[in-house]
Amino acid sequence: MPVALDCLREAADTLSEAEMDRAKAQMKVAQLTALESSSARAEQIARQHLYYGRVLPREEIIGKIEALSLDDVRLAGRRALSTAPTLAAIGDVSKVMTQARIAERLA
Amino acid sequence: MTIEITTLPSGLRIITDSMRDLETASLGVWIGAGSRHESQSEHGLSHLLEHMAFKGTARRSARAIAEEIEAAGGDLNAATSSETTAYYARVLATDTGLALDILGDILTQSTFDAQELEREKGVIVQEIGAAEDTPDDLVFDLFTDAAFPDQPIGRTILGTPERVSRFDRASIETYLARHYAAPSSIIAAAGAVEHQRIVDEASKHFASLGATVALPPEAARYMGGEKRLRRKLEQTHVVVGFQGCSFHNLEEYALTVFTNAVGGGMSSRLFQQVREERGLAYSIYSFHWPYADTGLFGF
Repeated sequence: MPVALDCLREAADTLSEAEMDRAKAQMKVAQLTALESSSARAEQIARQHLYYGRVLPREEIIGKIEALSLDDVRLAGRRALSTAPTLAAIGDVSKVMTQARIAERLA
Repeated sequence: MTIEITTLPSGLRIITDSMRDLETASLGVWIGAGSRHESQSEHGLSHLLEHMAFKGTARRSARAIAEEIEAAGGDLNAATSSETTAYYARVLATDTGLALDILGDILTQSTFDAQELEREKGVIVQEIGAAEDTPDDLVFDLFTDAAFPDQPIGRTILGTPERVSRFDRASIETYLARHYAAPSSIIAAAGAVEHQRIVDEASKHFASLGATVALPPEAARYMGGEKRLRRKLEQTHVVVGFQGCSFHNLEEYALTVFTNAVGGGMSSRLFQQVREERGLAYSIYSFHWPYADTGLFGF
């Protein structure tokens, strides 16, 4: 757990262009794959209309992903990591860090 | 790709995307209600209703529903989530009318037969047991409960055996009348579909879907917290999370990119550092789940 937490905390400051571009490329492929399957597409247009009241054009989604800067992405990570942590654990939970220790590690 | 949208007088929206070179169609009904719309005493009811919708209508027995769609080579399925319930089918282009007939029938004319209901409650108690025995699922139930304590959005979708066993036909019908509302429902069809035909068929088969506007669910309040469950297991299952973004937050995409970059694939930092470099875990990944008014991010 400490390794994973350090990893997240550091990523919010040091995430590289290459890492961000890789994530963007994966998201673009996921978006475009949905457009090629009728079941994924039906689900996508239904959910978009439920949530946004319209179907989002593919160019808009891809454009929004591409327009993100490294600062935008790091900031979003930093903001999320600054909220109160939630922990759930099952198994031998005696060695699992507490919520307070998690918050300290990220501070 | 051609999107066409028609809103019926009842408020029901019909959206089609006609995709070229396809011979089959996927279509379904997405209801804007799920487990977070349940009151405390209704916990598990959305999911029970989703099961019961397949158990017989005024015109069709449970078996006839399965046979009719499968005789056409199609299939029919459903899923309940926190904010939506979906019923969908995949059929040949020529059978979209049949699919809409069956979907309309099960959503507006189900009888919720007492014997079928008792049997199905037993099936769901088994399903709850299966989830209890699957720690990698159960840990996420604990996680949402800890993130949103004492709130509908934090509760499980399946419900508890005690609650589920108490539901009767009246509880299902009350929930259905209140939440399966045309203005918050969508019929979507994609693939080899012709918009006007889908609109005509849907108008015919969904005429009796309620036109009252469903109430929005209780607003989510992300709290954070912790839940631990001691179990004798070889592995310890852990989820650590934070407040994420809602669908309407402009930062939603940025946080999703961050999530994928830190823990989305085998090249991600989490996978590389925790598994590949140190061998500390078999499975590790990050996630970001947006909801209508909040979100969860974690690993």
